[in-house]
Amino acid sequence: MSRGLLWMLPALLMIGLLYGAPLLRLALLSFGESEWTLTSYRELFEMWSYGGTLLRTLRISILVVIGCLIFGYPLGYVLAFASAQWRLALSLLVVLPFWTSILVRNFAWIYLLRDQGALSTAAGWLSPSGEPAELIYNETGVVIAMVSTLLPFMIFPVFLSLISQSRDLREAAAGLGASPARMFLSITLPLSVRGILGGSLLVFATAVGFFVTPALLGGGRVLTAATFISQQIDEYLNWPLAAAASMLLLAVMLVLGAVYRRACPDQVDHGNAS
Amino acid sequence: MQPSASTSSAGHGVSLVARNLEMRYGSVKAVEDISFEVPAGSFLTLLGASGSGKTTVLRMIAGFEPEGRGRIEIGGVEVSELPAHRRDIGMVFQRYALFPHMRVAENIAFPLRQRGVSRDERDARVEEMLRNVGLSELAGRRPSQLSGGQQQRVALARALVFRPRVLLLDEPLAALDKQLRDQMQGEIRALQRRLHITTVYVTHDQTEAFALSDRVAVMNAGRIEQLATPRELYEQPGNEFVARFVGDSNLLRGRPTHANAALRLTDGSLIRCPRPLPDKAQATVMIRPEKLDLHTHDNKALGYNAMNGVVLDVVFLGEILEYRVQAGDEQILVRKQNLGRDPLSAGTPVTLTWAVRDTVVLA
Amino acid sequence: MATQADHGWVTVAFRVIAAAGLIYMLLPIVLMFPLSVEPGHMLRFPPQGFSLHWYTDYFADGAWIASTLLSLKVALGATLIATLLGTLAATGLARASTAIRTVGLAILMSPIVLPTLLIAVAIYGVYASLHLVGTVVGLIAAHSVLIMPFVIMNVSIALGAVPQSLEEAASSLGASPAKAFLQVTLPLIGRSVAAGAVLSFLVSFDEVVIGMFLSGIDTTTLPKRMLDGVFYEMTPMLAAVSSILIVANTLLMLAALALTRRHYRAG
Repeated sequence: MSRGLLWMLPALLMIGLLYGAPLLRLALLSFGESEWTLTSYRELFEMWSYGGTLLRTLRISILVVIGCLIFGYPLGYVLAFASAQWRLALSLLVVLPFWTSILVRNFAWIYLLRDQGALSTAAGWLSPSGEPAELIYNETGVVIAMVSTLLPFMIFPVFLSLISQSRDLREAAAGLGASPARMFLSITLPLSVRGILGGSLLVFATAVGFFVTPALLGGGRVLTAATFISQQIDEYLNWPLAAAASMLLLAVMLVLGAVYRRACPDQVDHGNAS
Repeated sequence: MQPSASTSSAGHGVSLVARNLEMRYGSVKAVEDISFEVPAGSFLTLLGASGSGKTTVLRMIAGFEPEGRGRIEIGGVEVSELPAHRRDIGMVFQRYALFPHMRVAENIAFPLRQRGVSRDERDARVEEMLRNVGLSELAGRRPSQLSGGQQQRVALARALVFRPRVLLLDEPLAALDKQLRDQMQGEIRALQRRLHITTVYVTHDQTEAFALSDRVAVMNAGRIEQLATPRELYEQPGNEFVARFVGDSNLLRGRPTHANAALRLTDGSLIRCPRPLPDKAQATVMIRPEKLDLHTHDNKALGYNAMNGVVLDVVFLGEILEYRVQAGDEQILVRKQNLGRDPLSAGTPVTLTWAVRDTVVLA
Repeated sequence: MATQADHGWVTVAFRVIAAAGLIYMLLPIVLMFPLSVEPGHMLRFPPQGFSLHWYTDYFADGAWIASTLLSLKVALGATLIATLLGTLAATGLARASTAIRTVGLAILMSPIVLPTLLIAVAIYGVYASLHLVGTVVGLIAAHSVLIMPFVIMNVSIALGAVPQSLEEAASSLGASPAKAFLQVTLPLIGRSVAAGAVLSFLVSFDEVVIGMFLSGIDTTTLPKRMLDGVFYEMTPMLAAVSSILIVANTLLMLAALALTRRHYRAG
């Protein structure tokens, strides 16, 4: 047996047993419970294009990506160019949310975004109608909370793409008379595109399949792919339909994964140093 | 020296035989049909540039290249199928590979632990080994607290403490400075001779190879160009590659004439050869720089070859004077010992002479 | 290496936005603490008083404690399995050929790459027919596969710092592959194994989605119970539990960080 494979076997077997087999069963289920049929898929297509689930999921995900870019790029930037002491403190602050329970992070938004709450009222001042805005149990609330939750996924890739840039480039540019802002636009930013791309794909892929935030802040009204699947199982016990939706989601994930690998081909090599 | 297929008298060294070793990395052949024998107790060096395959051969002997092919026999017993940890071979790695989480004494005791040696005997042998390499007071230190030379000695001690039948060394002195290297060379050689252990050494440094070894295998692109004693390699290189690798050389090319007994150069000079030239349209001979003599007047003597030329420049290196002479179409390097006389100046017409028997015919 | 850079107004603008972003990210977390000391029954900010009774209520509540203990049990079991199998797998990855490593890595990392919902649904489907829903064993099994990638990542990085020559040296000195691993490799990666274990524990303890589907009536994980709290009755109790979790998570995270700081330098 190839060296190394033996060591991986127990883990691989466990994954195969606990993930692979159930997923396979789900795949088979999507094609009908007793006979081989495509009804579930047809049903899915109708429901999703009718109910707008697919569009909604994509819309929300894109908005989340944009929100994460707006806040995530500057955070990655500041982290990359921080002095030593700042770097440590800041990275702890950025990493902390990443390791905090998703539930906890979303609770507060239910409170923060509640009707007549501070944020709702403040948003009302900004809106043309002057009425306190509805920020919860709708797409807006979901997007707001999800950006807060998924920011780390944008920050890390951006940070990595910025910190690997050599100082020499900027010094050379400065020597050639580039203004600081110009330097950023023509050198730093373009070289960080890979981080932007990677972060965006990561956030997008996570957002598409995300469950907790749409479930908590959607109030049952915001049907995304994930909450749809959950609903089909919990309320309608329609397993084949849920399975079909799951397979579609899986397919989207695989496609996104392939795109990611093509766009950001810097694989981390886990081999031994020699 | 007859290669013996049995253990040596000292109980340490045994003969090592490699047959048709071959190793591929993808489509590249790192090692191509290598065969050699190392008699019991002798010291063989695999000498070559990086990429010549020398380290790969060593690793194959050690058992670290399971995808390699070929036959390896130690003491007459085939070990090619044995995993590395059962080959009973001592190995010193290029960067010593000392276990950083163990102290010096624990490092050295490691192989003894694997062999189930009792605690008392272990301690005794570790102590003895430390004394052998002169590091008794450092037994309790960690590798990171040792200098390069000290780490190297520990690595050596660790590789020898269990009395292996064969010792392999992979460029162990590469990371040391010159003075330390010279000193360690002497120590390694002395140790090897005392223990009479069959040793295979890998290096790219020709001087080191010559200083340490009984025989040297010059390697190039996965093949052995020549395997011989240092003297044979220097005086009688088999081909141009070896001739150039093992020292400075002057190469003269021409057409064999006189029934392949002499070489006609392009400028007309005739070079007499001590052995027949190959039966081809073109052949090459080699003369070592120190074998040449310079004369300011014509000098023809029996048993000597001669060429006329002009001194191009002279370099004073202390012990040695190096002349560059234009003779015919070639630039000849001449090395003379500095005997205190005034060197010849550039532009001086000279005659180069050398003994016919010092003309080396290359394949 | 990029260190300090000045991009003029761009840097200033970014710093401002970054500060806002930091608040955006941390606000939900920080808010838990003041919300948890509200003496009244409703979530309110600023709190109308100071009371720790929600904390004492939590510790006194049998159901909450039961869930907490269950989550601890599950996390412990899952961590043990994940650490063992994950360490072995990471070792295998380091030794494998490039082709096998690529495929193996993809499979081993898939649990955190795929949406947790898919996995939860799939496993739930299988568990339902096997009567494994609501069992501790079922939860442990499902979690252990989910958290394994964290062990694998940590151990892989540590293994990358262990030169191959160390294992070869051990081999040449007579140690079988297993012995070489136990006596040479493992001591050198021990800290990272521990760090991976700590992080996996954290992830398992906080895990929501799988817990949601695989919990039973008597066996609800802590996150599941909190989730129920959100849907049925949001009181400051949730904030109190959240605060405790935040502190616990932070400590665990710092512990893992501390473990990965110092490494032996290979000689």
